[in-house]
Amino acid sequence: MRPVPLITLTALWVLLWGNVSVANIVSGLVLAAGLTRLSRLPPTGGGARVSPWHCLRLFAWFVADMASSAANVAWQAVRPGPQPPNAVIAVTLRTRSDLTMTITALALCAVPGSLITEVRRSTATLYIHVLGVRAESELERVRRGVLALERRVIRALGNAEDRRLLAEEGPAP
Amino acid sequence: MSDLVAGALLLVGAVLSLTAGIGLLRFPTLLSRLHLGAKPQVIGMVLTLVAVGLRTDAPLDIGILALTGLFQLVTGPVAAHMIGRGAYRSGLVRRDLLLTDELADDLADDRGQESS
Repeated sequence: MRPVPLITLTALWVLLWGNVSVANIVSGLVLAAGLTRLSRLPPTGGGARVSPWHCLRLFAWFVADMASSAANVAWQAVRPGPQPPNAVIAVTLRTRSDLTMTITALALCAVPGSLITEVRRSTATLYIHVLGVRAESELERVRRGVLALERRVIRALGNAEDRRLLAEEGPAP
Repeated sequence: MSDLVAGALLLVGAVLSLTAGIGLLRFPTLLSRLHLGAKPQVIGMVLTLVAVGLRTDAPLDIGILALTGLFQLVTGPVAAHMIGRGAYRSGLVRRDLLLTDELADDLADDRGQESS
């Protein structure tokens, strides 16, 4: 039995009850043990190396990006005049790790202006619906942004393979 | 002071949710509407939760507020993705309003390979 899901699930249970008591912790542990036994999920994040500093940087970037693009989309919604066209673009990530791909996709999805319409796991390609694109040149900017985001995710919790791919590519432009 | 901050956060959160509502009416296509339902609305809610957290005295309430926000942030995008994927695959996308569509090209390639 892996300890991390057990502890996480118990912590969730105690938080949901809203008070730390022996009964809550014990019932949480029993429930967590039962749940992890019933649903045998494959381990994720195999070999992930977590760097707290880069996790913090990723989080700070995420909050800043969310704020700026929320303002952007909100403005697009209320701005007078016709709506600009959208686009669906394909961005192929470097990574082969499910964890890196999932975190990158989630971060993209949580930020306004980009929506994942399709994911191809075999090639690690994300198909992104981009809101309000006026020119093709803007798409290039979005593409670079996605790859830069992936770079941040890898630095925060990529595995050895991810980091090797990143190192081969050389320093960030 | 915390009253001021909480009030400001509530206001910003409410304005974001309002723009999400306006956008739902104004945006022309399903996919672009999904952007609003999934994003400014969620951020508006997170800001509201932070404001409530600032004004509460029970520390464990903050835990449940954080959980609510976390689940919104994690499940919202997944739901939006599933709806968007379903909509795309059932042809509910207005291609005339798309500048480029690289997914359509790749899906067409797949079909070509299957039939050949």
